Amino acid sequence: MKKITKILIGLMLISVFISGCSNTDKDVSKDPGQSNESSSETSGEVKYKKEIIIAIADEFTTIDPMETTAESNQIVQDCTHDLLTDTNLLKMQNEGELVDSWEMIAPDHWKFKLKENVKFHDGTILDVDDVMFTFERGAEKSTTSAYVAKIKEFIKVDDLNFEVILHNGDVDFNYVFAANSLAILSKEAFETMPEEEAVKIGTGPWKFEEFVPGDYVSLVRFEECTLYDVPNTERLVFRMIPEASSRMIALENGEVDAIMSPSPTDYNRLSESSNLKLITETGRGQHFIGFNCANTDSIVSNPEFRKAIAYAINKEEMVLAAWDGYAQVSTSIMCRDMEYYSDIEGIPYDPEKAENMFKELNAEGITLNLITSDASHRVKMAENFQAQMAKYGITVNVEFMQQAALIERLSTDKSTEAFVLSWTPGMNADYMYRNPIHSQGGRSFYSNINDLEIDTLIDAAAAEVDTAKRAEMYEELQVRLTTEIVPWVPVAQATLTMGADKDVTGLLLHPGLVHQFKTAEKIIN
Amino acid sequence: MIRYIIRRFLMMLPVLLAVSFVVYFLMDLAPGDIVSMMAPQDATEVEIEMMREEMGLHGSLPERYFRYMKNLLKGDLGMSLSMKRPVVDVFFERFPATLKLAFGSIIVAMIISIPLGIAAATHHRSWLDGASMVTAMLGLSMPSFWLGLLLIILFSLKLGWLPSGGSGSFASIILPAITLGAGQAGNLTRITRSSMLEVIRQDYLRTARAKGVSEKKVIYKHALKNALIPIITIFGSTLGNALGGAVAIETVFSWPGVGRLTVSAINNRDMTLATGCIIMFTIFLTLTMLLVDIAYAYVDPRIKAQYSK
Repeated sequence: MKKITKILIGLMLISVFISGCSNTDKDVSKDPGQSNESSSETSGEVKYKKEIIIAIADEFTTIDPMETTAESNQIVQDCTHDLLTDTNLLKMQNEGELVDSWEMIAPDHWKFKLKENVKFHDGTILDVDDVMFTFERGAEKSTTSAYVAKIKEFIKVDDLNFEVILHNGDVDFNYVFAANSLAILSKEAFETMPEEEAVKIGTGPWKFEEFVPGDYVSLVRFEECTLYDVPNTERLVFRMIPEASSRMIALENGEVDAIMSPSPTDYNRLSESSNLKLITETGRGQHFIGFNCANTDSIVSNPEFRKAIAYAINKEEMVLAAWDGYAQVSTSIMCRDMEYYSDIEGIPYDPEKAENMFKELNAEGITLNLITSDASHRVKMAENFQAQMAKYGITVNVEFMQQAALIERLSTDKSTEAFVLSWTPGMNADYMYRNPIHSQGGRSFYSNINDLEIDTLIDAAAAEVDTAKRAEMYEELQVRLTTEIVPWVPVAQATLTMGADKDVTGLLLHPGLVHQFKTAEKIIN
Repeated sequence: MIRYIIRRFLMMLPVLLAVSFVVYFLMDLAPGDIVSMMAPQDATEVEIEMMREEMGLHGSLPERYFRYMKNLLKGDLGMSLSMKRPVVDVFFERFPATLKLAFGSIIVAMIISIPLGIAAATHHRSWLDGASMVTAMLGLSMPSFWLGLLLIILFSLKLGWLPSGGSGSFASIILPAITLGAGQAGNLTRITRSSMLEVIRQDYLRTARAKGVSEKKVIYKHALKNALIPIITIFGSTLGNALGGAVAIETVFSWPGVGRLTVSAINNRDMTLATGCIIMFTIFLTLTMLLVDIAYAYVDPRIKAQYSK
């Protein structure tokens, strides 16, 4: 009995030892929400909560902006680091962040002036050398090399002014500097600190404090911030809570102040609660039914069939099925808040016309194969599409798979017929068309349109300096792609949501998913 | 005994080789490519190839596997493709949390199951026996995901006694340990009961009673001592279940353990991280089984004698 008791006591001691070891690298008092839930401070007469905790669904992995393009990282990096230009979420336009002004001398020659007296977290002042250093580092990183490769020559005029000469003219070049992975780093920090410490140094209103992998990342306000007002909140914490119902419970019992991506089943609870609120914003993600236009063995290569599908789909019904109504029906393949968007009618829902078109095409009784990922809204979109097409005598076979597998199938399987996907472009129109539509564009070219006329029009619009002419070109692209070529049937732009304590302010949802928390605060009554 | 331990250590090598082979090849067979997932939308083919080279994903599958194994033999599990950090570092950042949860759940399981199992055996075929077995079955059959959410709603949301997640304080381990321990307690209760039932029918206990030893002493001093021996043997497998079954619990309670990390690595097709985590798990479990066998020999002289031969 003594021996067994010794073993059991030994096991317990091991567990206590392990518990002790796992806490050695962090101060328990720093644990979010444990120590200062009700603490506050006074700024004038208003009292602010010391700590704001945001629950995020995905894992934060690194503070280095150049290491990853995952949104969960970029949300945190956006608080600590700044870009040369960025989207102003209140005005929805590209503006200077670290840049004070810019001028396009020619499409391949740009001039920029940095803001004066912008301080890094290490106390140094931002100058052109920091920008040059960032680009040099970015040239060697896979997330940024494509952007830096556009630059033929970088000319330092003085400490605040620089010019860039591009290999090819780009009238939207200011948007390149809005890429999150190109956040400006401190050259001096890299010269005086180890790289893993230097990457934490930015110019944002929040300084990196601590990262407990899989648990939370905490930031403290940058007291000497010159670019923004010093935040009223002392500490900003991002806690990783992968399960939606756990996030909701943590918000309801006050453990966190805001939650990302609440479950649609909790939308009503959030909006009807007296203590909580549901924050919404139409996302820039365009959700669509896409077709592999190059699959000549399939009827989907016929634009008339694709048009008939567009007439056949009741998008309102699909929005209700996939998002409980929390999405805006799309009429164009272009997203609403983008530059050069025109409010076109597109192809309206017309079941009679669709039926006649299917009859003319002898499409009744055919079987269509559709692939998509296992994301809940895509599953519901695919199932609803299947049900809607059944009314026209078209059988849709749906195959669900993981996102990684879907991307591989779309890239490699030439027999793909149709797919459910979404596309979240940046704000500039060229990016919207070049990647998924231009035959020499990016990796999202899954519709395989290969239309030389369209390619030429995209290139011409990108090079056009006259904004009125450019707008006409983009409208023509919108109309032709949405109503004639129909590589996709645009369904909806889903509503982005966040749940929060009703007194928390400064939470800005970004249509491109890099939400902003720079001014997050909560006034305590 | 020492020869036996050395032999067990040597047996670990083919196990690790087989595990690394199976995991590496299965991960490669799974559709999906981490480079496609990580590259920017406007990356060119050349840049994608550059990324593939940077990540060490160039060459044929056997080439990549041998390169991986060569590094593994040097103790290098490689760099996580998604986190760009050494796999060993990433694993050991998270492993203490998983171990803490596993041991916490075992302690919970023992606290529940040993008294319950003894009570069931000493009151065989009584209402207490029935109630203990129903409780054990409940623990075994309740899905941990569901139980976890129920406990959060009760203790966190309604009563406000415990945090709903995280890992920073002692209070935060209570709910996940109970959730994970509940299932194990069901199994351990049944084993304790059957082990006790077997022991209390032995002649030496009848002799003890005949000699006037009190019933309490008979049960707790003489019977329990021998009934607990089989429980030690299932400690290893219980720990294995606790580690493997912790994924759902880690997700519900936002517990920063290796289970969540491994699943996330598999979903992101981070081959080196997923393979590395599974190899580390295998090493840990094999060592645990070895320790259990040694402990078994320590408490049971008959086994020790067998090893000595």
